[in-house]
Amino acid sequence: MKADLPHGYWNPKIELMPRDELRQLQLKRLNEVIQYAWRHCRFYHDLMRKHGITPDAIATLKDFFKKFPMTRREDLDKDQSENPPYGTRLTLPAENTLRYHATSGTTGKPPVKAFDTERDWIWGADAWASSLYNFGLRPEDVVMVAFGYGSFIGFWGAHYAFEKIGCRVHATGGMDTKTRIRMILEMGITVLCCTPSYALRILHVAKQEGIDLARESRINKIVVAGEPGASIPATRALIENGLNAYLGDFMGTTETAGLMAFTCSRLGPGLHINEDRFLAEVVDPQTLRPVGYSEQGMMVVTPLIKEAMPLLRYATNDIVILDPGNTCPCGRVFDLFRGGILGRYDDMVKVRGVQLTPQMVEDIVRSFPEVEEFFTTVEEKDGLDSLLIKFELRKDSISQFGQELSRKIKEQFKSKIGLTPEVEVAEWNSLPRFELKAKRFKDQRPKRH
Amino acid sequence: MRKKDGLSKQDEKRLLSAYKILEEFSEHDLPVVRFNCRKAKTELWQALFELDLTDAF
Repeated sequence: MKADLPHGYWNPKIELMPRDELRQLQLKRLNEVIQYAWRHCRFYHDLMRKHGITPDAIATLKDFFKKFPMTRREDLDKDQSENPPYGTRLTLPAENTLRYHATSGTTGKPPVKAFDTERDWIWGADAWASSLYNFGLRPEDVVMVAFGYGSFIGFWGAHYAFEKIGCRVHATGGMDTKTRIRMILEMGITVLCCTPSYALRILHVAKQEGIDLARESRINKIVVAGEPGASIPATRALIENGLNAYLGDFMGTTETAGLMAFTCSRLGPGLHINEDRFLAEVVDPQTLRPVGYSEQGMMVVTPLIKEAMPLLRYATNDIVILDPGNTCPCGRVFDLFRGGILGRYDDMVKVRGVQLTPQMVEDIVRSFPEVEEFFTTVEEKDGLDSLLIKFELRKDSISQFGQELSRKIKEQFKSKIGLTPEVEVAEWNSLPRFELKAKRFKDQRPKRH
Repeated sequence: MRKKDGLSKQDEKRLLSAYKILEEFSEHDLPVVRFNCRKAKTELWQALFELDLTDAF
């Protein structure tokens, strides 16, 4: 039986303040950010002039949502390529910044370069620290951060946040999975911090080694970020049951450098948005008009402080549904993203007329615990879309079970999504494994789609 | 007097005073003083910002 997560508020003054006061605080911080960008950031100064906006034109949050143009990833790419090496968002000489990070590059585009001042970095780590504390992290926790510590921002902010709370942190960059598993057991790790894909990888390798981490380790909390896995019920259940631990989902981006949304210790139905630090909007991806609570749309975000590289109305392409804060019993006024990040609009494909995301595939395939790894491909065969799912059985599964499982996966696809894929069993350990930003979906059709 | 969900006015003033002191020592000639106070000052600024107390600067 798992003990309940400790409940508390990092900053009750803000987290419990009346909602209209929170909106006033956001407006005050937004005005400061816009003024700063107007004075110091060429990218936004030029953009505002182009749209005939001066800072005093934004008197309300509604003004901002209505008048201020969105920034898209393409705008950042274009600015960076036309103004090498850093683009025109950098507000101060690069030598006056403290940190450099780049986006992961999994989209295939050149990575976006992101700088932080010392103030930005401490702000970002504080956003992580408050979110981790609100999930239930305490100084007595012993944490393993399982990622490569490269230029991708990944869990860098989390590392500093764990230290700020007072946890002992084991950095494991460069270690292989077996070594990490040994360390989990030997060092009494209570919190595993990694991507959902890597948590599954650890579970599979432990199983091969005859280790039951749910029984033999002290892990009671799992902190995941970087992929939408925790919002996929089947994946979430596999990780939580495999480790007999609470799973907290955390969401941020390299471009914002701070942690935007988190699972609280009451394990409510979504991720609370750090609304004192970020102004979040949800818009229709086609019309760019705001959508209401409970409606699906694209997340647009503005960090409410950013010294080195301001970012205003950043269109993330993430698919979210907004719920009011009181949907969760924790008492916070911060709104929630229902179920976390539900996918990305730029990952969504149309297959035989059906809108499909990698998360929809994963939710079905991971509901079969015999599956160790899988990969999805969309191809064109004889002028028709063809969806192919290859999966590996767990090493301890009986190989004859593969055909039966293929049939069950097909049935699930037909009933839940309305598509019948081809399903093949792949040789064990033949499909790619991931530590960061798993990509298990490839659309190989000609570009007209 | 401390409040359960925040700070008393007196504590707010003391924190702001601490910030002013750290700010002053962040310019000190002695590296051990300068660098440690600068880091501490920025960490304290974060707390003041989160508590919405930076208007006083």
